[in-house]
Amino acid sequence: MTIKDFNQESILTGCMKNDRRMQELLYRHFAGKMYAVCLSYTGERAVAQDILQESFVKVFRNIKQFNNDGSLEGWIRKIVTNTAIDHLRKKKVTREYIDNEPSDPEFHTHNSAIRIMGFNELMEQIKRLPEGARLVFNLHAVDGYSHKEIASQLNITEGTSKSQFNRARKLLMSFIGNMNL
Amino acid sequence: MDFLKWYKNIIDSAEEQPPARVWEEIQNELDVDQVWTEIDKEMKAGRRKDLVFRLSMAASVLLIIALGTILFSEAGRSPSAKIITVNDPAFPASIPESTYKPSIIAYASEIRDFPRLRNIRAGNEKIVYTGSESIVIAREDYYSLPQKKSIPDISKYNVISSGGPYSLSGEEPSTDKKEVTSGGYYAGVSGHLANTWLLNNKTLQGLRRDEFTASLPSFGYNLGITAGKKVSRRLDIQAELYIVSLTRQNYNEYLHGRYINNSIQFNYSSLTLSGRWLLLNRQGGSRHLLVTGAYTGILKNAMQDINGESISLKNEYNTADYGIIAGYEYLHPVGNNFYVGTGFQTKLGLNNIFAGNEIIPDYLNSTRNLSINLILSVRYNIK
Repeated sequence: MTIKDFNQESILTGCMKNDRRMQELLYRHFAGKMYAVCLSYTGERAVAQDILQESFVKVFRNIKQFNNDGSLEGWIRKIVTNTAIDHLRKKKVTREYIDNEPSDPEFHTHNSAIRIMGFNELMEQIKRLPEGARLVFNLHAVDGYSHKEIASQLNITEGTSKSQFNRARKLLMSFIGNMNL
Repeated sequence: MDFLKWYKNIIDSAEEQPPARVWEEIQNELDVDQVWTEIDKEMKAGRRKDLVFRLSMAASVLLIIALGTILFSEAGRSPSAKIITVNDPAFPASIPESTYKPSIIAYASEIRDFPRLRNIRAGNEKIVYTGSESIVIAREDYYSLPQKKSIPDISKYNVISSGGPYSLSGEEPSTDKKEVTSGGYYAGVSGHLANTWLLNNKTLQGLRRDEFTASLPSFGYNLGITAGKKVSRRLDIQAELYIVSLTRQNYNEYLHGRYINNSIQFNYSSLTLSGRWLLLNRQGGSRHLLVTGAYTGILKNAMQDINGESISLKNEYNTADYGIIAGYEYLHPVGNNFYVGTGFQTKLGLNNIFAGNEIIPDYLNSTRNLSINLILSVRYNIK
């Protein structure tokens, strides 16, 4: 079996039996997307690789707990996100926030920079956000966590989550707006 | 499109392949998991396995002792020919008294008993046989006679001979090949083609189809010299010195996303001591033997070949190995005092040959030798 003919059922069965070939197929199928998620949370490749590694080890250790109710990709992504939160929490960077309120930038989708901007260029700008603010922003904007859930996860108030999200959004928009591509 | 939708869209649609190192690290962690799982399983099963192993060993030792006792006691016992004494009413009246008195004491009722009797040799000459009349006399202590009391003291009688195919001096009939019954020595050469296995957790798991490791049939060989002594008509004791005793284990291992060929090879010098019990002695001199015994080996070198690269494992394996053997051998006479033998033999090591290394202690990779050998041997009866 190759990655091209990915058969979720047989791969899951193989992974549950610790079949290394099946584990590798599962990894190769999802690694690219999950690595991008890790990068969006960390902005640094080395840290993103550590999180990805830790996440997939958790996936394989807990694969028997996956019940086919939801999508496999969603389940893996949840593990990746939680691992990223844990990782950043351990680094004690979740409280690195934006202290000042940035001014409202203008954001236009017809802006030439935005139109030709790719993932890598965006990562360069995300990296400039303080890690705590970046985490709040991604949890809400990408993974759809509510501010209440974020507050509970990061042990902050809902108000802090909301304000950091807004400040991160404004700051990122201004970074992108000032780009010369 | 607003900024947040635009941002989410870029992240969700992004893909970037991580470096190969990540998957290698994941595999390493999973390997460690597997090792711990195995250790956990081993520890749980350890006590039970240990008990089973000790009981098996005790049973094997008892079996060997029992077998040895039977063999040695049988060796001193005579065959049970059906003998009818002269005083027995069943003694044929057709035989004139004048032909046997005073020498003839007993009569063998079945002609098939004679081949057994013919091996009575000088020193046992209190046996009398009149071939044409099918009459024999046996020494009291040579046969287990139900009517022992009816046999007179045969030492009083003279040995007589009336000719026939057998002579009274114990020499074999001229039509049969000469056979040494006891006290004879022999020497020869022996070679084995061996299907060898290294028994440990990894190779045993490798026999299961769903494992990463695939254990493959591996072959070695033994070359050596033999020497033996007949301790009775049925039992030989034999020593075999194998100058070269090569064992191998080939296996494929799934590592870093691909299968890797592994081969472990041990070169021993070994000494085997065995008892060889004659099961059947066919007309024409061919012999069927049951072989049991023990061996000890000294490791000369140990190599591991991984995808064509060789490393020495000598420091990771014990120098000494010992175990038990069991098998069957067929000897066929091919000339004056020469025999060619073939058969099979199983050798099972009893000690853990893995000495441990910096990472794995010896008890976590307990390894034993096992081989199933096809035998080819030549031997010469010296006297």
